[in-house]
Amino acid sequence: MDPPRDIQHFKRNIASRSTVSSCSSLAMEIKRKKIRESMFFPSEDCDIKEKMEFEMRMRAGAYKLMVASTKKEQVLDASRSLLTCNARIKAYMSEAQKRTGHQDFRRPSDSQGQVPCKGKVAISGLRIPLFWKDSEHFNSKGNTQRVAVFCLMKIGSEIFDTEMVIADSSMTDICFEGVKIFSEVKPDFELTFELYICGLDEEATFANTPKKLARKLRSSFGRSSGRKLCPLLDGGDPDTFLQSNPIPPGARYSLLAYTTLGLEQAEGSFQSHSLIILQNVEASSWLPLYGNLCCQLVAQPDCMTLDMMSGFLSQQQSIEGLQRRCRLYCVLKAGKISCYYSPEEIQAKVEPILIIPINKETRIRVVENDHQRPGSRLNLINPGNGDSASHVFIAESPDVLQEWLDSLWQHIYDQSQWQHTCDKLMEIDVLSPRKPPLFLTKQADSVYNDLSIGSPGKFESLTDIIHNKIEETNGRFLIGQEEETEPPHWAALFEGSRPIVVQKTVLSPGKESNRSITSPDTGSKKKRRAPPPPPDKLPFTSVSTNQEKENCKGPKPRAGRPSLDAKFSAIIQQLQKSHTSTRKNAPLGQIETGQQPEKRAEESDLPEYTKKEYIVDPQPPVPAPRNKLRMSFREKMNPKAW
Amino acid sequence: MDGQHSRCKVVVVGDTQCGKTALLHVFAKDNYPENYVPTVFENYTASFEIDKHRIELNMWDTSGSSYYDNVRPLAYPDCDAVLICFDISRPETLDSITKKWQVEAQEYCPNAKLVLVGCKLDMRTDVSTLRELSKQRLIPVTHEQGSLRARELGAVAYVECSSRMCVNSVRDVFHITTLVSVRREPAPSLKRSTSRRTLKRISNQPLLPVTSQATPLEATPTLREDRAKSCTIM
Repeated sequence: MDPPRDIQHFKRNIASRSTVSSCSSLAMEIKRKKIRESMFFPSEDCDIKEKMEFEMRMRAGAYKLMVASTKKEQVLDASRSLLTCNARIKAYMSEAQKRTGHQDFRRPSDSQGQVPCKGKVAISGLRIPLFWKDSEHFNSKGNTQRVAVFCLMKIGSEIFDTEMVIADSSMTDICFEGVKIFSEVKPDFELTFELYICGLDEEATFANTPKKLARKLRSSFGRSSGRKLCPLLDGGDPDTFLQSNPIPPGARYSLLAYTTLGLEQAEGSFQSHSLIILQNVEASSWLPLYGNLCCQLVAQPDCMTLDMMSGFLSQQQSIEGLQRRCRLYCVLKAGKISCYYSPEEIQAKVEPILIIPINKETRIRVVENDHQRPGSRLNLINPGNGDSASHVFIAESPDVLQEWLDSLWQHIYDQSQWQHTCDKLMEIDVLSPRKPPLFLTKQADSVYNDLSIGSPGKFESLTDIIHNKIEETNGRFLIGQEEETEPPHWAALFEGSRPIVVQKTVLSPGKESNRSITSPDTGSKKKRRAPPPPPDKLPFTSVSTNQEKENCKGPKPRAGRPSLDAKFSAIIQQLQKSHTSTRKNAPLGQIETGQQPEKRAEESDLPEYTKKEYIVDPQPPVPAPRNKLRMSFREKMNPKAW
Repeated sequence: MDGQHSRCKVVVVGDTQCGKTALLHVFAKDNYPENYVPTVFENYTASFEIDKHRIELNMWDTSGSSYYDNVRPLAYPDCDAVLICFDISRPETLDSITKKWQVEAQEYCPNAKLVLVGCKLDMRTDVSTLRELSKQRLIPVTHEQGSLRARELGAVAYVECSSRMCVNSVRDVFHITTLVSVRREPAPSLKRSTSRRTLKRISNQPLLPVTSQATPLEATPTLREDRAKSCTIM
């Protein structure tokens, strides 16, 4: 809740109140009382009362919302709002009492002491570690206790609450997002942190209690409307409100732990602080706290962010004995005076021509030389390592000089009060991620689940799949290369194996003997053809290949068993050859190549012929060992053919 | 169909002083609230019958003030319909619907039906209102503007009403809202031919109020025309 928004809101309320006062007599009486009270109380008290009325209206609305809700989380969230409103009302009431009590002592206290400047305090990154037993945390079968948790943070009469988080034994710590920024804070602030908890196991009472209360509330609609008209008469005491409007037991929050943070803990970095746990509370057994509160606390005094004083001063400079004046625009801020030639340079982000540190070691003297020149002089002396730096400024008038003196003394006092927060400006990270919608957020998994043993297994399986795919693609590439060498081998086989086809149907062992015979024949034929490739013979070979292919297809369906035996023998030979060749992909390549060339042969014969011509030509220049390698491939193809 | 009981939850949202509480008061309490009191949260219940179908309407009144933005989402869960209200005599309240209320309703209850409601219909012809708006070179929101905005929102209906002048227009708002919400529940029973005919009859007769109370006399014939225009189901 930012103060300017409250002001705007209450301006609207004034208009609405005038309409109310014009009609009812009660409102008139209320208005008269306000007028009388405003005569005695200053405007600050009026602001507090307006805030209190706002919170009372909010509290009444939250109670109605809680009673009308049917979801557990919804009821708990409304109860959280109700508790927050009551806390604020208590704070405002105590603040009002303090001010009335201190009214008589205000003037002497002001004259005695100096008042330090205000500042901002921001708390973010709330994290509360839990301390589960091993059996409780890892045993997921057991019925775990689920609890609703939220936090209240207060400095003086300013109170913030976090969103509600549902915690169970699968969480290692409770985290609250967002940044809470307190404004108008004194350096001796005390940030009170309170952790509230409510169990979710009382499901039976949820179903019945809210409905009963809802009925009572509906019947007593007249009373609530009356309260709206005269909130001041009721007094608004939270305890009285809770007595007349009881919270159902299933939605009652209990204070589980608390702690107090001050300026000493405001380091600007993520730190851990001790948390005081109330052992008497029944809820302490539901949520085992480790006893620490981790958060980032930032304190930003106004003297570091706002210009405490600014204006033109003339600096007196002495160059080679000659004295001259230089008019400069000076700004007192963040423990230093920055001097510019003109105030426009600040907007242009030009570096100041002179920076004079102002701290507790700075000595401020007023020099008055009435004899020489009229005017007031200000001497700022900072002790250095060797010589002390001295700067003399001349103010336009004694009044201006006095203003600067007051500002300088106040600045040094502010630094003494805000201590280490004035050494360096702490940045407040206002940019926070957008708050997710209520009731739709998923419960955060614990760290242990992320580090479970099963997760690396999944990764291994994924890597295996990837490797398998890579191997398959590699095999395909190899198959493509080998295909080019097959067609001539097939043609050679068919040309020389005419009698073999006839013998297939007779004897299965005879096939093996024939294979051994054909191997040298194919070699010899290749050698003969290589030097003289006559074009006339080509058409004859094409015709013969077609006929032989038809013959090959014929015997396969006739003799199923012999073909299986041939396949087994082929596989065995492949394995033996693979060992000798030491290539892992060889068997896969052979099997696949055996299938594909047949399809291609069926599709078109002529293009294969052209390929054969090209392949045959480079044979003569190739050396002998390469021929042997090709022969070995072709020999491997022999068993596949059968 | 006899004895069937349905329960509908309706949330009413819109800018401050749009006429949300007056709308609910006139429908649930049968009296127009003369004094303005800003609402935080209110809950109303009304029971009535539509073609022998008993319906219990649970209506949630919310605050249009941005100071309650953190708590208003608590009212949205499990609601069947959202009534997004604006003030016909204040065109800026219609602009807020696209900027704020549609976004909020879509975020917290994406499955609910949206009904756009133009409140303070009598102000469209009010002389003092017209004079004040003319100073700012504005005119009251027209029916066409409201209908167009309803289409842009994807609302199922656009209704105009005057809580002060015409009680029937207020009842029409909630009858249409109830019809839109209840249609989903008897979806499995659509297989029966009788239920189809019944639903058709209901949809064809949205104007007829169920209660036969004496309606106040309408001041001008333009109000009648506006009333006829107001009940438009997209």
